[in-house]
Amino acid sequence: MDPDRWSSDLNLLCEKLATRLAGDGATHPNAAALTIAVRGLQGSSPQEFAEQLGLGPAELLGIESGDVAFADLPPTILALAEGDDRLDLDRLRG
Amino acid sequence: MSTTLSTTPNTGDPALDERRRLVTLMAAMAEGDQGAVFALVAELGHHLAGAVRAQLRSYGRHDLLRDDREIEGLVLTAAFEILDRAGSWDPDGAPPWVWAGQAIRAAVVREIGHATVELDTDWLAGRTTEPFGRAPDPFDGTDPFDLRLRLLLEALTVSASDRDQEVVRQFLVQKAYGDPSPSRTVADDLGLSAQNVRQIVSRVRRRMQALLVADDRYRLLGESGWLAA
Repeated sequence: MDPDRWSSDLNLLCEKLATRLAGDGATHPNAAALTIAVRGLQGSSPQEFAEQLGLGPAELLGIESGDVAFADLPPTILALAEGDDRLDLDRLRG
Repeated sequence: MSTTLSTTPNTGDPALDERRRLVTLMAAMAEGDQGAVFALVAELGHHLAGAVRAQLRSYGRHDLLRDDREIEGLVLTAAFEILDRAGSWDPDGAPPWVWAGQAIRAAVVREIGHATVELDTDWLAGRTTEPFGRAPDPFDGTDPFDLRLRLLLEALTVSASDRDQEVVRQFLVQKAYGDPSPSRTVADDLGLSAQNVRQIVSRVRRRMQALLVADDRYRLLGESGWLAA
């Protein structure tokens, strides 16, 4: 298949991941999925992303596990999401 | 140290670059990094779409082949199937959308409702004569000579928490009795939402199917019925 003719809906992927995380018991799955999406799309490992955000590894793990509400996400994560045309922040807030 | 998702240096050979990129992403997913699935879909989603289209063609589902939104959803389903199995992938082997073809096929069939995966729980229903709610639980008083039931219970035990086991057991019992809305019935009984029941059943089923692939002892469970590919 021609790669130029295919473009995936990464918002839908984010929503599906959030559903999985919710099924696994995450309290804030939308915030977790968005964070994972932003990190994955910019090509960072958890360690690299935590360093970029000035967070400890455990803090990022908590965010990606759904322990942190959307409103309490580090502003940098939201800014990165807003700056990525492939993600629709309003849609992903849930 | 977590595996980086950063793009590996360009070699000038597109096929080799793509292969190296794929190995990087699969290694990250094997470590449990769900972020890598976003890079996989964004960069290599066209391969997944090709695999999904091939499956749909093999079923003669030309109606769905023309539906980009349907394909899109199935591509993401395929991506999660790959994510869940990344730890078993051989970097020297076939690309994951080929290697995981059987699992992707099973997931696609589940989503599009192909007749070959209609729930076959007759053997469960046959363990009781009562319809619906007051019927005895066929899982109780386990017959040690019923190999399939013993395997099912064993696989369920290692694949799910106590709460999720109960949800799945009740779901299968309701389904076996012909309940047209087993998720709703179980949700009402256990104080959950129907959506939550569906998520739990889907998740446990996914884990049990992975167990079937990983452990040949459970092969019998995959030959027909709820866990069949």
